[in-house]
Amino acid sequence: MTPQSVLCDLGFLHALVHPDDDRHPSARGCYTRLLDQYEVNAVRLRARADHLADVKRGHHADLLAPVEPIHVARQYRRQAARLHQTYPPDLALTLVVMRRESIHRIATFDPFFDSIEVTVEVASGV
Amino acid sequence: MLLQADASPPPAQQSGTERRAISQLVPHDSFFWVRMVAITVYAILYIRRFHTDGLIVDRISVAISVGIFLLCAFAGKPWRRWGVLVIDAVLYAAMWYAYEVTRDAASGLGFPLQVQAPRNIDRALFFGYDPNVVLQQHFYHANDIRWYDNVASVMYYTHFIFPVIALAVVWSISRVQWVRFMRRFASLLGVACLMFVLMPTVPPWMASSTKYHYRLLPPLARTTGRGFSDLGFHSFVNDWGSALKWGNAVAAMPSLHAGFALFVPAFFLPMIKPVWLKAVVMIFPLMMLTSLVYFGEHWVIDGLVGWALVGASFKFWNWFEARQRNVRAGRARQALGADA
Repeated sequence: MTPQSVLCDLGFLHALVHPDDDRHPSARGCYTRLLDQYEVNAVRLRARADHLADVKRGHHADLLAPVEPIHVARQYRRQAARLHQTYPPDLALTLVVMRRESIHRIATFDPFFDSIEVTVEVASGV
Repeated sequence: MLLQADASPPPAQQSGTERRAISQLVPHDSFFWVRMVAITVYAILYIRRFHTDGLIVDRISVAISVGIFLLCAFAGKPWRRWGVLVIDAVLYAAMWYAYEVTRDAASGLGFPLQVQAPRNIDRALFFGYDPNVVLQQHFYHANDIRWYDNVASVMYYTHFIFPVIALAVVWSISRVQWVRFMRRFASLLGVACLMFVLMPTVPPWMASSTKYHYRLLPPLARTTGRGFSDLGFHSFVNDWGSALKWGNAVAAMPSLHAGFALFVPAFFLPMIKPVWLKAVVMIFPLMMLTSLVYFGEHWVIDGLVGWALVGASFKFWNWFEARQRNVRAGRARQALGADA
C-alpha cells in the first residue's frame, strides 16, 4: 500500500534548514518523528520542488534526502491562479498541489491548515 | 513567499472552528470527469469485445489495449507526467521484447534439455506417482466436459489477462506502486528467461506425446482450451492455438503461469484487510497450479520454482527498498545531529 504523503511546506523547510530560526527546535522534533515513520514505510515525505529550490536543497542534500520533490505543473499554477482572490498565491498553489496529489497531511507552522480537514504535523503558532 | 502567506490570513482562517475539506476549497481538475467517462466507456467496450470476440491475448493487441486505457487514465494530466509515462512505456515494451526474444532463442542455444529430472522430482514429491497422470486418470473424460474442466480452463487463461489488468490499474493510479510492481515483475521475468536458456525443460504433455521420442508418461490430453471453448469463447481459443505454434515449447521451468498467479495476489495482499479474504485470494495460485498439472502443461516442480522466484523477487526488493529508506533517513539524522 502506498504510504500517506506528508507535505513539508516552505515555512517548515525554512525552519528545518536554518538552526537560527525560532521554530527550528520544533521543526527538528517533528522531522525526527517523521523520519521514524518514513523508515518503516508509514509515510512519504514530499515537498513542492519550488520550495525545495527556495531552501537550496543542494546545500542540504543529506538533511532533505528522504524528501521527494513534487514538480509544480503549469496546470497546477493555472488552477491556483483562479483561487488567488480567496487565498494568497503560494497558499493557493499548495492547496492545489495537495488536492491533485491526494495529500492529507502537512508539516507546517501555518495556522491556516488548522481550519481544513488535514492532519497538521506541527502545531501552529509554535 | 513565506512572509506573504503568513502576513495575510485567508478567509478560511477567520471562519470559526468549522474545518473544511480541501475538495471544498479546490475543485477537481477540469479533465477529471473526462477521465472517468473515458475509462467507463473503455471498460464497457472491453467487456463487449470480450463477449463478442473473446479475450485479447496476443502481445500487440494487449499492448494496444493497455495503451488506450492509459490514454483514458492520463487525459488532462500534466505534460511532465506524460513524459514519465512515455519513458515507462518504452521500458515496459523493451522488457517484453527482451522476454520474447530470449524465450524464443532459448531453445536454439544448445543447452541440454531437461527431460527426466523434473519428472523424477515430481515422483519424489508424490510418493512415486506422476501427478499429471493421476489427475487425468481420475478427472479427464474425453467425451465429457465437466464443470471443473471449465474452471481449470478459465484459471489457465486468466494468466493472459489478470497480470495485465493489475498492472494497467496500478499504472494509472500510482507511479510509486507501479515502480514497485515492475521491479518485482521484471526481476521475475529476467530470472525466468535465464532459466529458459540454461535449462530448457520438456513439459509433461511433450514427454508423454507419441509425436516425440521421450514417451516418459502414458499419453496425456492437452486440453487447455476445451473448457473455455465450452463456455463460448471460440475466437480467443483459436487465436491462442495459432500463437502457440511460434512459442518456445520447452520453456517449462519455471512456470510463469504459476508465478504470475502468485505474484498478483501477493502484491495486493497487504491492501486486503480481512484475513478470510486473504486466504481466499491465496487459493488462486493453488488452483492455477492444479489446473496446469491437470492439463499436462507443467510439472509440479515448475510451479513450485515459479512461486519460489516470486518469493525471492519480493524478498529482494522489499529488502532493497527498506535499505534505501534506512540510508536516506540515516543521512538526514546525521545532518540533524551535525547542526544540533
